[in-house]
Amino acid sequence: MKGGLEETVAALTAASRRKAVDPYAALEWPQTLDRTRYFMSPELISLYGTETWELLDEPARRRLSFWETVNFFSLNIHGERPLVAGLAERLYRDGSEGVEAYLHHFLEEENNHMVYFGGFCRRYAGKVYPDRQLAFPREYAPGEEDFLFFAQVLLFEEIVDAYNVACARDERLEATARRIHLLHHLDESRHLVFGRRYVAVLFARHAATWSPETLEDVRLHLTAFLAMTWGEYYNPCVYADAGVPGNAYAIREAAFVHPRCRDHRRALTAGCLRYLRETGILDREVES
Amino acid sequence: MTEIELREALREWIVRTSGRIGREALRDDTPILEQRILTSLHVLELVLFLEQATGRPIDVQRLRPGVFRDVDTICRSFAARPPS
Repeated sequence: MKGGLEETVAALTAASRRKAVDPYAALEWPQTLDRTRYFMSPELISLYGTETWELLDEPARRRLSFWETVNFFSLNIHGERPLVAGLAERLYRDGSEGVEAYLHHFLEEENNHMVYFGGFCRRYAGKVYPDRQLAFPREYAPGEEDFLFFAQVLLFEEIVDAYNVACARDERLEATARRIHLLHHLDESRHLVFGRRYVAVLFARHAATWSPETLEDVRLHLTAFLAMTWGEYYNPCVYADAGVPGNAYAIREAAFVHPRCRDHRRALTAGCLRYLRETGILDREVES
Repeated sequence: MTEIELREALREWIVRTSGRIGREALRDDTPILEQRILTSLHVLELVLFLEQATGRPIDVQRLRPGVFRDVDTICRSFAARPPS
C-alpha cells in the first residue's frame, strides 16, 4: 500500500505541474452576467422537486440558481480556508513524509480556487455568504486528527466535484459559472484520487491503535460531518435573496427531508460511502 | 418566542439532535460541548435553529467563546430582549 501511495503521489505531482493554471489568467470576468440564464443545473438546486420549486416560474427558478451558485461558491471558500490552513500545518511534519511534494500543489490549487469563487461572489453578488461553522478544541487519539482532516476533505470534495462535473457539462448554464465549475473539477479530480488513497493509508496506519470507543467516535463524526456538509447546501439566506415566497427556514426544513432531496443526496454520495465501507472506515450504511 | 419558550424548545432540540442524552439528564447547566453532547458539527443547525426561533440573524464569526456552553448561556445570549 505504501508503494501505491508513493506512485500515486508522484503521478499526481507530475500532473499538477504539467497542468498548472494561472488563476488570474484562467478566467475573464465580464462586467455583468446574463442573469436570465441558469447558473446551476436546475436538478442540483436544493429546492428542485419540492412543492416550493413547483410554485416558482421559470424566471424565479433562474434567479434562485444564481443565489444557489453564490452559496455553493461561498461554502467552497469556507471549506477551502481551513483546508489551506490544515495542509500548511501538515507540511514537513512527522508522518507527512512522502506526500509533501503533492501537498504543496494541493495547497496552491485550493488557494487558486478561492480566487475563482471569491471573484465571482464579490463581483456579481456583492458578498460571500457567511460561514456558520465554529471549531471547538478537543482531544484526539494518535493519528485521529490527521485522519479526520483528510477524511472530511474527501467527503466535502466528493460532493463538490459531483456538482462541478454536472455544471461544467451543462450548456444551459451561464458561461462564467460554467467555466469556474470546469476549472475546479480539473484540480479536484486529482485531489480526489489522492484523498481516497491517503485516507485509506491513514486509517490502516492508525485505526488498529484506537480503542473501540475512538473508532466508533470517528465513524459517528464522519456521519455527522456528512449531514452538516449537506445542511450547508440548504441555505435560508439563498431563498430570501432569490425572493422565494414563504418562511425561508420552513422552506429549508421541508426541502431537507423531502424524498426527492434525500434521493439526490444519496445518489451523489453513494460512490464515496461505498468506498469508505470497502476500506472498513465505515461499518454501516449512512444516511446522506 | 419568549425566553421560557426558547429554553424548552432548545432542550428538545438538543436531545433530538444529539442522540447522546435523555431529556431527564439534560440540565440547563449541563456543559453540552465539554461533554460532547453537541460538537462543532452541530453548530450550523444550532445557529439556524436559534435564528428561526428568535427571528434574528446570527453572525457566527462574531460570537464570543463559550456562548454555546450550556442551555442557560445560550438562552441568555440569544433570547429576544423586550424593548427598554
